Amino acid sequence: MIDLLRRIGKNRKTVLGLNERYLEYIRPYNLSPAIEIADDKVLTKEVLSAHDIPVPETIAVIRSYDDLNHIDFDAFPSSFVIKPVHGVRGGGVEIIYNRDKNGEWIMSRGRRIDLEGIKSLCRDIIDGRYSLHQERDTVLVEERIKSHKAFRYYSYKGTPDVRVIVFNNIPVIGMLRLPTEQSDGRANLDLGAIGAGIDMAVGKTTFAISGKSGLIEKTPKYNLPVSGLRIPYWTKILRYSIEASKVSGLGFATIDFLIDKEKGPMIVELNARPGISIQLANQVGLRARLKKAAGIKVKTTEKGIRLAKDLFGGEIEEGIEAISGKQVIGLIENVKIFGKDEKEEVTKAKIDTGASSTSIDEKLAIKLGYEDAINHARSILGESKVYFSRDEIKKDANEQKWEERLEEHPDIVDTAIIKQSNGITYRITVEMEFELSGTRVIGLVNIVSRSGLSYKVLIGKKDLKKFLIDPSKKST
Amino acid sequence: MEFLISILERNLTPQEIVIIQNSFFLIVSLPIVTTLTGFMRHVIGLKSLSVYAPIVVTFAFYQVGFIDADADSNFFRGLFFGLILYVIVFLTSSFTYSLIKPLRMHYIPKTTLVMISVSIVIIFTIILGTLFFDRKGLIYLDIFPLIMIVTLSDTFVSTLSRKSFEQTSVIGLQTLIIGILAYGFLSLREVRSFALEYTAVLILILIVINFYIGRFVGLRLTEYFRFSDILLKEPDDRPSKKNRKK
Repeated sequence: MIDLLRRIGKNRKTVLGLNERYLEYIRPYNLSPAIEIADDKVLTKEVLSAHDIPVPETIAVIRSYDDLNHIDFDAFPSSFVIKPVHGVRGGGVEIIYNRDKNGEWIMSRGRRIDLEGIKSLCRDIIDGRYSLHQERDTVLVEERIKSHKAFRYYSYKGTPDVRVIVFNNIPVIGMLRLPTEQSDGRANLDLGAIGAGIDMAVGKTTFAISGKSGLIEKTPKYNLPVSGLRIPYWTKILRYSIEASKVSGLGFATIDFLIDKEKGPMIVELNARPGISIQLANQVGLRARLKKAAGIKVKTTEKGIRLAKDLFGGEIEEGIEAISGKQVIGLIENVKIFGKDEKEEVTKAKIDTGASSTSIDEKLAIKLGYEDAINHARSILGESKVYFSRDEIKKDANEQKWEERLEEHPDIVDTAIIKQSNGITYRITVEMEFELSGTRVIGLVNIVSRSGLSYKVLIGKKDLKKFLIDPSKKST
Repeated sequence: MEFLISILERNLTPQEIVIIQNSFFLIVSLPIVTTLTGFMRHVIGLKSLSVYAPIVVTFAFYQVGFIDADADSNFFRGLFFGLILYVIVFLTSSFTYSLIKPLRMHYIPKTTLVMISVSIVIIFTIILGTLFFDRKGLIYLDIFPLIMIVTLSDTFVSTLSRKSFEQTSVIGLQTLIIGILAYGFLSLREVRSFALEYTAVLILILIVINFYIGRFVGLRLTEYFRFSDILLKEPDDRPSKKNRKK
């Protein structure tokens, strides 16, 4: 309990809450002219494209019924998106995928719509059906962004979006939002989309939350691991997000990207009120990062990119170490074996993933204090005999009740039938503790004469669970 | 406050003094309710539909309960009828709004339609309640708190137009909790007598509290739960790059 409180006491200073977000970051760093740009999608696009930052191409802006009468929908490309400029919660967004032979447009779920239908959709938007308090709105018609192939098996229907929070011209945290069946192809976390944290150094996903069920490890449909997905054009995304923050004047902003399979990343939205759930997707507090980023003079975009990568990267390798806790070892390693009565022996061991259990040489086992057990075994088994088939060995073992008799000895915990290069042998197994590359393992070790072999110990699969093996690593 | 009332004393009967005391108390109670609303929002993390909604809940409950001078039974009567009315208004508003939401209509007429449905349901509630239950309670309901509660349907509709029914219900419930807490607090005789006796002190205290809450940047109580995953992590389990090199 005290430990929990200690952790909370330390960690709470790393997390950004809504109170501090507003008073310390939104209020001082986002002034109203900048917020006006962010709140108007048409204005956002004008400002960004004036500075050569890519945005989806605008096909039309329809402000009134009169505008609607003068627009030639036949001149539009076959695929486009209709959206309200001041829409609430993604309402009123319709994606047109194609146009069929009869001149009808194809929408999601294969629905067809004719010219009158499209005009009716636009009138609904103008009338304010999807805006706050039914106020009059403007229709924005844009090119449709075709989802990048990197996300093909990760998202359901819609296009995933990448969001980056920029503070003081440094991208501080990121999230990939994957639409799911539950969210009906939309990328809103509260509708059930997946939010995956991003390692800022390399643009790979780290942890992920599902809007409604907390941390997840696999995607719902294809069961793919949500961590380790590489986001294409990562450095470009960092660059555009810094530039967007600069030209809009937002000192603390969320920049939302869609990634087109041909044109690359494009900014679809700026938000002057960054959400704080992004901390859960990254499993890291944003406040600590903002404090790190504050006060650094970032003169160039390049420096901002470098700082983002250096300061806020490295989550992935640390993540794997933290999760696996595994030591990397080579094929030959020094091993320290702890025997009975505090006897210790150090020798070179062969790491053998082809063997299932660990074997140790008889003479070494005697040095470690197992002489009594070995003599007991010899009195029952005689001189160790090599068999040629399992059945033969089992027959002898059953007839002479080897296992029962051997296990009368306190040191012998089990017996094993082990295949070796020249045949099959019956061996006794004792419990032994050993230390490999600083990690201690308690293993069941079988005893055999390895007198002709160069390594007196062979460590098998069962005792290698705490290690990762790197064949190129030399023992030290 | 006593001092202010004493200025009027010469011209007023004792009965009139009680009335004016009650009015003055209710007026200074307004900032008490909004202070509590602010505290619940920024320190605890409970949202309310608007600043106005908890005030309505508090005073509607207060007035609904205020039938005679017997203050102890007043509290529970207010809670009982207030809760019934609040739930009825919320459910009726949500239901009617869900029916007319798809219609292409302007906002105010839409809200009016919702309010009409709420009025009808409230009238029937009073009739049925009087026929089958406590006679005294519903007939003696003051019209003013009744109107206040009915106007909450406007607040409900405006939230429903932005958020889902589930989200609105949750916030509606939180508003109710804040209102009931404020109502319970103001129903305490000690609070009433303190407010009337030391009005200036009370206002000073409220100003100080609001300056404090207004600049509060700590985590809200609900955020401790929301971010428990991060908060409960071993602080050192992710060494920074600097530490690892050592």
